[in-house]
Amino acid sequence: MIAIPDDQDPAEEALVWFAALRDEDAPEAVWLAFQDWLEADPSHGLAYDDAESLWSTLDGVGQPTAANAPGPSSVPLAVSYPRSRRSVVYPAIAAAFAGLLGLGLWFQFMPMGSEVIYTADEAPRSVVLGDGSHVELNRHSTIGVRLNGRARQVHLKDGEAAFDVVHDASRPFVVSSADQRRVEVLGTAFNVVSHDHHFRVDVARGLVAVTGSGGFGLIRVPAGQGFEQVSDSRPRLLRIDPSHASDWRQGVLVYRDSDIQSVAFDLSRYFDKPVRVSPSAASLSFTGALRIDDEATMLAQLEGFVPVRVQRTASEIRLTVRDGG
Amino acid sequence: MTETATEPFGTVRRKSAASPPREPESLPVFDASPLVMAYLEKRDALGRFVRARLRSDVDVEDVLQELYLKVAALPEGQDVREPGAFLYRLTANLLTDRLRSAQRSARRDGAWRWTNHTTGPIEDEDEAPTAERAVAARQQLRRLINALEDLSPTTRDVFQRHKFDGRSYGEVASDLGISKSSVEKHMMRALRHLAEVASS
Repeated sequence: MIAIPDDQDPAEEALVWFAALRDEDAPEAVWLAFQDWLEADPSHGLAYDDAESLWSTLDGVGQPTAANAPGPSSVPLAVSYPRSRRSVVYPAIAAAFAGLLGLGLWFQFMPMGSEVIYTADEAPRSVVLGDGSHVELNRHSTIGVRLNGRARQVHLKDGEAAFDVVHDASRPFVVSSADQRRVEVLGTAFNVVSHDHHFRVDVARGLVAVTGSGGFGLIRVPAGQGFEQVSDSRPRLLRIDPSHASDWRQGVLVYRDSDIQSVAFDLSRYFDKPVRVSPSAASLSFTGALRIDDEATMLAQLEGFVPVRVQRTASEIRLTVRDGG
Repeated sequence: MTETATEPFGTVRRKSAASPPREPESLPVFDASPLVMAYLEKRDALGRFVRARLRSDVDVEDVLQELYLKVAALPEGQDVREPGAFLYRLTANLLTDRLRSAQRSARRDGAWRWTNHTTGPIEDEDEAPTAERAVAARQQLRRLINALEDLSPTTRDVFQRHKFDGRSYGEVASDLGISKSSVEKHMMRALRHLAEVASS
């Protein structure tokens, strides 16, 4: 185990941690203790970055070609992380999704001015807009996109999409939905659902300004909050977990103590008829994860661990409480 | 009054229940590999770790996504004895890769501007300072390589096997017939000396 005296300087402590964590067999407890140390003082993380930099400065040394060719330019010992590396990371993620998970992937580049429509049917779809922003479209969702020199406009005609927007102060990025709701973006990541008069925005990072319908004007929604409005009713602001704002991109719907009503709403998005909760089941809340699949499979998952009975009619799917549940 | 479904996939609670909401111990998914399940279970904890390492919320989600894809891409049936430790190591490696590519693009762009508090137009920075720094960095690397010569033969051997030959601590230990904790001590000695040289 690792014992670090209190009176050492962060640089020395960082090296002790670094040497300990290079061991492939370091158990989880050591990682957790390391995290405690990192969080104990801001100087610890900086010192650890220096240790890592020292280590990677020597990358390639010892290989035959590297001794006399350490690189064209400088080797910094302390480098801060650039603020955004999304442009590098996202294509990689999208490509990996396409390759590994069998999801559809299309890269599209936009002509200026005219509206271009993107639709995802039975599989999610990843779209890269001409400005470098990324949109991940959930199943059964359609957007129309217009880009020009002064504005970036996305119309979410129906469904759900997660946006990761490249910051460009001179060209506001606006997502509009049916019922004239608008989400104005100031360079950020967020998720929007618009379906069947139900509208919801979950902000994972940054800040958006939402214009609701029915005269509910500009509302600023920061990271960690959600905005929800049904028809023209008074909107609700929700606390959300930013790391779960768009779990559907990983093929799961994750819930923590959620109303059965929100679960039903999410499921409705995936089926051709709405899922309604009867009053007997309305008091249930659910914690767990549903894998996104066809209607029968998803409902079977739900029935598997929530004491509800699923009844199908021509116009809806109804959830009632199950006897003994 | 908390009701728990008989199936192991989730829990249900009555809203009227007087007991406070409980954090779930896990969020399992159908058909997921043990590592994917461990990932979902530890996602929040790993996020805190990433946040602590990056000292920022920015990019935390990216790293977690990247990690998920790495985990999902591992061959089925891969035997990982300690999924938790494995996930932390994988995360740390991802963060190291990001630091490395940040360094590479810094070198490529000649962009020391991140670390400088430059507020003026960046065109003001001409070539000369960048070139000077490049020379300084090459000298620094040369000093570090020379510093390896100062180490005792065993310490140098341990360091080179681990760093340059990619041998794990366990492998270095059996290569040299020493204990794993000695390997760690030699590594510490080498790192301390290199850090001294780097900062002198």
